[in-house]
Parts: sequence; structure tokens; C-alpha cells
Amino acid sequence: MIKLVDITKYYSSGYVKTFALRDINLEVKEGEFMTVMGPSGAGKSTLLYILGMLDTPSSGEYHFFDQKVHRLSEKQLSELHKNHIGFVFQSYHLIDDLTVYENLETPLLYKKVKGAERKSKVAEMLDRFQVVAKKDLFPNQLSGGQQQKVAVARAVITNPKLILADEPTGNLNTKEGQEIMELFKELNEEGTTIIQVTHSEKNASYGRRIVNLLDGWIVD
Amino acid sequence: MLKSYLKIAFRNIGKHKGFSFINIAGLAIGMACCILILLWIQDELSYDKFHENRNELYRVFTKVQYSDGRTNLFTESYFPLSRVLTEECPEVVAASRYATHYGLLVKYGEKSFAEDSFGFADASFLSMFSFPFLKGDPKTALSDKFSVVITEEMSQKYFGREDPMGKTLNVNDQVDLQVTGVIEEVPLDSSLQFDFLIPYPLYWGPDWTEPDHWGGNPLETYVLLNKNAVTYETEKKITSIKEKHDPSPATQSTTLNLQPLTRIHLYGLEGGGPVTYIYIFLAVALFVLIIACINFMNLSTAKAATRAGEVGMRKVVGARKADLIKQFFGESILLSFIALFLALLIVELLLPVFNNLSGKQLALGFSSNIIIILGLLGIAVFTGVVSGSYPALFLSSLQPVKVLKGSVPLSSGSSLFRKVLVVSQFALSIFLIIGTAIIYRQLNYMKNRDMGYDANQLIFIYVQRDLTAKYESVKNELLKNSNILSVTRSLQVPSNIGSTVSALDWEGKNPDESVSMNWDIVDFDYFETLKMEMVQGRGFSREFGSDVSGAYIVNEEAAELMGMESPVGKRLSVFRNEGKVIGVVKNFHFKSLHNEITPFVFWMNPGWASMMSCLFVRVAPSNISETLEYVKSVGTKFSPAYPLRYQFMAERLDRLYNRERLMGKIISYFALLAIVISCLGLFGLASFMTERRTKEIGIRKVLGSSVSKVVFLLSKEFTKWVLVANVIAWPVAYYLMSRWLQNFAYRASLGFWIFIMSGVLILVIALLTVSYQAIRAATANPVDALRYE
Repeated sequence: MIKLVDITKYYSSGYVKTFALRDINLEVKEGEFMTVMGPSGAGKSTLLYILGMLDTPSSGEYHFFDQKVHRLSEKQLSELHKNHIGFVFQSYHLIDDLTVYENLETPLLYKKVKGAERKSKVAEMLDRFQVVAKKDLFPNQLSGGQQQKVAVARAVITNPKLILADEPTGNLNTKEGQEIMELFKELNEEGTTIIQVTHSEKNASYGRRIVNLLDGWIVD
Repeated sequence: MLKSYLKIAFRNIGKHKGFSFINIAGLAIGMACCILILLWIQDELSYDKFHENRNELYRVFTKVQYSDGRTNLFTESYFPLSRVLTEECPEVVAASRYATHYGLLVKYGEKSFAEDSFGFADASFLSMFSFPFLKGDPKTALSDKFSVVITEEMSQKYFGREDPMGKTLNVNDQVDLQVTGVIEEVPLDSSLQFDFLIPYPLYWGPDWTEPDHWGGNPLETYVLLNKNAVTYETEKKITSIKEKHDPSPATQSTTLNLQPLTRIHLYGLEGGGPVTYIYIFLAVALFVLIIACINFMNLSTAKAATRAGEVGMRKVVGARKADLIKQFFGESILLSFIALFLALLIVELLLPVFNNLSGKQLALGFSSNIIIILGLLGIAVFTGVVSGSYPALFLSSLQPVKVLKGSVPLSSGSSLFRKVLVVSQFALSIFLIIGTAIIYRQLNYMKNRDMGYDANQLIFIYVQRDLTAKYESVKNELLKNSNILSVTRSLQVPSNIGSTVSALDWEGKNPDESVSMNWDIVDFDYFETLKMEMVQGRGFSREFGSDVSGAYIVNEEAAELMGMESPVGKRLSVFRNEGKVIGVVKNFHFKSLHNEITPFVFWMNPGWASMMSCLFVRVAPSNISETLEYVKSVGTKFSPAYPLRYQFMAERLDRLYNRERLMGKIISYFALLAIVISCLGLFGLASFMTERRTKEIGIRKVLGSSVSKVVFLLSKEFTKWVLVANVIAWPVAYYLMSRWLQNFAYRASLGFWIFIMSGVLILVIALLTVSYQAIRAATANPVDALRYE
């Protein structure tokens, strides 16, 4: 499903190049549950953003199914991204000015899904993630765990092939974290590929494969 | 999708109430101000446009060029001109004389009023111009010599519900006129204003016979040209027709020219004129609107930066750049339409005040002002698009990764842009303050200038018929009151004497040189009553019987023109009447201070006594109201039918500058508005900037900075901007205001302190605006600021 060949990412500031990723070669098969681990600044998030097509590598090749992502235009990237990839962040990143219902609806709006279908999909997600009662509340009226549930629901609502999660439990207490991880496990069992970044050994144990990063290199 | 955008937009307004208020209110005020001015301009431009033949109607004016290079323009025309042009000039379809009069007595049965608005015109007048008839036939209404056309209001006043047609009105106890037509009210935007329209010959009385001579007379000539006529060629033709009948003297060349009717209100005879004010106001209105838009943009931009997170998130869930552009444009256009709506409300509220100020009857007519409506929509869309462009184009291209990582480039480029905006706003405010100050300084200067005579406690009374006939008895009666110091009369009022004489001769005058003097015919005690100072010789005196004919008094300018150190006793001939100069009066102003003092000559002529309707009464400074009562009672005693028309001379002089005063007022309102808008903008910006520097302030305070140091730190930058604004505004104000002052022959100095004061005033206002935010930020507990980092 995903194949990275010699992916390198650096940031230039003045005359100094700061490397975030160096010669990453990685293959991910459909249906995998992979965990990326490593200390702060190892390049975990950068890798995730590149995989999610939110960031572009400085060099190297990125194949997504049969598409050469590194050759695609911004518009094509955006299409690919919105049809196949869902994102979950450590700090939820819900839109503050929209209610739970509207937050869930937003990706569908951008995919131009028709009104009736949109309604049924949102209802399905509200039901599945047990937030029906909260649908008219704004994000700041919810607990962290509830917000993250909504964020996961929002990532899943477009039926993406791949879900990328950047420390999804980092801001949550143990119980809430566990709930979120159970959700991921369920989604994975239904066939969704999941790649998560985490510091926690316990969360890593939900996945079936671990990739360790250190100073931008993959270490075994 | 649209629904979602709308929701977001409204929630944003609700969430930042204060901010939204400042933003929308600023724009609404700017728009309202612009709308008012546009209405005013539209009204000014609409003058005389209601006539069907508006493009073919012209007023004939005369241009005289003297051999010494001077030119003289006047609209007074010649008795036979309209008749001759209709007969001899093929381009002229119709022509009419027109003159106005005020202060005539109109009677119908028991009802009797002194009326002020009479038009005198030829029969063709009503078919040339389109004054809508309610009753009667415009083609024949003025054919009969003793006919009158009245307005609907006058019909109500004199006849009530009766049918006025065929009824008889008596005018001035002289003539009985039959009502032959009733027209609608003459629109306010007509240069020709009258309540009664009467055949022209009656201007001179029922027994007047048309003279054949050509001379400058109190009448104007209007012509209707055929559609194919070329103005330039027609002018040549009518000039040659005039020359044929009335050849000019060798020392001057006279041309007749055509001024389009629709230009009469706004343009001088040869360019210039009040239209300049239209340009000035248009420029200022646009400038205020631009400032308001800039502000709106500025604040929206500052605000938008806080929404970078939303932008990033929308991109992550699949928004394309185009979606975001649409969203931000939509939001800003929505806001600008809310502002427009508010602006319309403000205009509705302010219109009565504005009408009072400008003396107009403006209204926001949605059915009649399609151009203004389209203009307004255009303005709203324009403002929305411009102010939305930064968030729409800049934020939408942000990379979500950067936003989500929290490193939004809070654009140093746009902060420079913002500084430029603030500086230009304050520059405009400073400019307007300086402008206001200089206008008022000039007005004040004109009010206090020594006119060469004492206009205070000098009453000017317009008299006619009974009072002119019994002048000596009236004078004696007035002088019985000890508070009345002196009484005199003259042909003209020294507030605006334009008539000139060029038939002049004196000892040693170069016969080839063509010169002219302004003139007036006066009675005894004139110089004493007006308190004019004699430099040489004496005033007219009863002790010298010869003074009533052949005695001249000139002003200093005239003495200089004659090239004489002491002209007293020297020969002078005016209008071919030989005489001697008996005195030289100190230069005095006989026109507004726009004009230079030019040579002037006075004489007496008892033959003109019946025309001398300017009575001057000098009263003692005490008990003025009682004295006035006495003057009125004398008026009633000698002329019971007419209410006495009097005016203090000082007031009359004041009225010469009505236009300048109106401009001063309007500019001062603009200045106030510009300051309010600028301050709203500054306030919003200051709150935004202090918010962004909350952490810095917190750190500084932890490190031991005092409150006052922090306030200073925050205010310093704004001070710098205001100083830069001064540097920009001063030269512009200096240049434009000195040009404005060029309009006056006698003017106040520019006054450097005005510039300094305006700058300081704006600085103080700006600092007060900023200091609220600065003090709030500086006194906050630093821990609050740092905790969330």
C-alpha cells in the first residue's frame, strides 16, 4: 500500500540544514497497525505528515497504491488525501466555532456528499462513537476524551483506507486513552490501515509492528 | 456548505463582540459619510436637469476685453437682445429675458402679503423651460401683458380651494394681473426660482415702452438653440449680430458667449466656480471611505491570524484552497453588507441634521437613486473583497503542518502594511484638522478685518416706493430718536458693488488708455454714517450747493490710478459729466475679501433719488432692540403695507462667506469622523498587538519592569507612527491650504502653530486610545500571561 524510498526531509535556516528524516525506506501493507516510536525530535511527526501528504519530502519517492505521490500536483494530492486518509492529532484540532455535529459534517461537505447521505453518515458516527447526546455542543464544552472521540469519528467518517494518529492519547487520562486505543483496534480489525506515533509502550502494544526512529534514522 | 460558512461567520461576530462592533461600526460610519456626500453631490449635479430642453438651453453672457488687458464678465444683458436673436439668428429657436425681484406687495381681496420671489420673463419662457403646468397653457400663459403664472403654493395661499384661473391679483398697488396658469412648486434644484412669473415689461411698470438702446440692464437673456447648432459658431454669430446693432467702442472688444443652463449652478462663467467644492468633497468622501475600508481590512487581517488553526484543520479534513478562499471572501462580504445596512440606518438618522446644515432637502430614495444603490452595492462588495483578500489569499495558502505545529508566520510583511495604513489614516485626520483650523482662522480674520467703514451698529434697510419718496421726512423722523446717530442712503450696498464705469476723463489722462472705476451714487452724510475716513478734502456737504452735481469723491486707489498726489480740486468727468474731485476717501472694502480693492468714485445725483433704495442708519451701541423697534415703527408709519426689511450690515458681510462657512463646517465634521474611525482602528489594532505581546509583557514584568515602563514601551511605537503621519500631512496641508487661501485677496497667515497643535492633538488622542490597552496589559498579573505557555 505504501512504499517510501530514500525519503529525506530537512529544514534550512540560514546556512544550516536541520535534518528531520534521513534515507527512510519503509513499506506498509494494507490492513497493518503500525507504531512509530522514538524520543522527542526523532522525526516521528514529520514522517506522519509526509505519509499524510500534509508535508512534502525534500527528496525520495513516495508510492501510495500505484500513485507516485512525489510527482503529484497540489490539487491531486488534496484529492488523494481527502479520499483515502484520516488524521487524528494529540490536541484534537476540532474547529472551535462548530458544534460536534458540524465538525463531523465538514469532511463530507468538502467531499460534496449529498444532504441526505450526509445526515445518515453523521448520525451513524454519532451513534457508533456514543456521542449522540453531545451533537449540539461545542468542542470546549466536552472533556478531552470526548473531543478525541469526535476527532476519531471525523477522521473515520469518509471511510479512509489509512488513519494516521499523532500521539492520540497524549492529552488524555489512562481510561480515556484506553477507550481511544480500543476504537483504533476495532477499526483495524475492520480493515483500516493505521499508523500511530506514540511514546507509550502500552499503546504500542495495540499495534503489530513497531518502527523506531532516532535523529531521523530508522533504527532496528 | 454555504450554511456552514454563514454559521461560522455569525458565530465569529458573536464571539468577538467588541472587536466586531469596532470593525463594523467603523466601516458603517465611513460608508454613511460617503453616502451623505454622494447624495449631496448628486443633488448639486442635478441642478436644472429637469428641463426637457436642458441640453439646448443657454444663458448669454458678455465678455468685455479692454485695451489694457483687463477683462470683465457679466450676465446682465440688453433689452432688445432676445428679440433680435429670435429674428436674426437661425440657430436660436426661442429666447427670453429673465429678471427677478423681491419685496413686492400682492393683494387678493382682503389678503395681502409682501412676497419675495418674482420672476419676470417673456412669453416664450414657458415653452423653453419645463415648469410643469397644473392649470393653463404654457404656450399662451404669458402672452397677455397683464397676466401672471403662480405656483400651487401661492394658489393655496391666496385662493384656497377656489379656482385661481382668471382671478385677479394686484401687485404693488400698481397693476392688476389675471392668473393664467398654475405650476407645480419650482424644484429646489432649479437655478431659476420664483413664486410668481410676470411678463417682463411689467418689471419697469405698466407704462414702460420697450427702449431700443443697448445697455447693461438688470436682466438675463436665455436662448433655446436648435439641436444641430454648434455652440462655438453660434457665439460668433450672435456676437456679430450684437455688433451690427451696437458697435463696441474702440478701446474694448465685446463678445457674447453662451453658458449651458446646466452649468450655471456649479460653474463660473469661464471655468472655476463652486464645482471645485464638489471635487474637494468627493475626494474627502472617497478618502474617508478608503480609510474606513482600510481599517476594516486592517482589523480583519489582524483578526484572521487567530484563525490559522481553523484553516489548517479544514485543510486536513479535505478543504481545497478554493473552498477556503470562498469562505473568507463570503465572510468579509457578509460583514461589509451588515456595515452597509447599518450605514443606511445612520444616513436615515443623520439626514435631517445634514439637510439643516447644507440647506437642502435630501432623501434616500431607493426608487429614484438607482445609481447610488448600485454604487453602494459596489462599495460593499469592493470593501468585502479587499478586506477579505488577505485572509482569503494568504491564510488559505498556509501549509497545515506549519499551522498545526503552531508556527504561523505572523507576517512581518503585513505588519509593515498595517503601519502604512495607520499612518495614512492619521495623516488624513491631521490634514483635516489643519484644514478646519485654517478655514476658521480665515473666517475669523474676515470677520475682524477693518473694512474701511464700521459695519457694527449699522443698520441697512431696503426701502422702496413710499419710503424712498418721503426720504427726507423719514430721515427727520428717525433722527428724533437720540439713539439714532445718523441716517443716509445710496444706490448700492457696499457689501458687493460690481458695476463699473469706463467713460472717465481727467486732466492728463492718456486718451488711448482704457480704465474703469466702481461707482456709487450716495446722499449727504454717507461718509459720516458709515464712518469712512477722509484722507484729503471733505465729504458731500449741504453747505456747498454745488455738491449735488459735479462733485466727486474718489478712493485712494482711484487717486493712484489718476496719478495724482492730491487730486482734490482737479477736473474729473464720469459718464461724460464734468466735475471736480472734492475729497479722497481711505480705501475700503466694497466686495467680499476675495477681491482686491479697486478704484472707486462717489457722486450725488438727486435725479436718481427714486432708485436709491439702500437706507443706512447708524445707531448707538446701547438699547439696540428699543432703537430697532423705533426704526420699525417709523417704517410702518410711512409705509404701512410693507414690512420693514432691515439687516445689520455686519450680518450681511458675514453672509458673503456662507460657502466658506459651510465648507468649514463640513470639513470639521469630516475631521471628527476621520478621527473617530482612525481611533476605532487604532484601538482594535492596539488590543490585537498587546494581546500578541502578552507573553513579552509578562516576562518583562517578571524581570522587574515597572507598569509605567511597560506602558511607555507599548505606546512608543504608536507615537512613532503619529509623528510620521505629521511629517506626511504637513506639507500636503500647507500646499493645499495655501492654494485655498489664494482665493482671498486678503488672508490670514497660515500660522505654523496650527500645524503643531493639530499634530499634538492627534498624538494625545492616539495615546489615550492606545493607553487603555497598554495600561490594562501592563497591570495584569504576569503569571496569568505565562501560565499557558
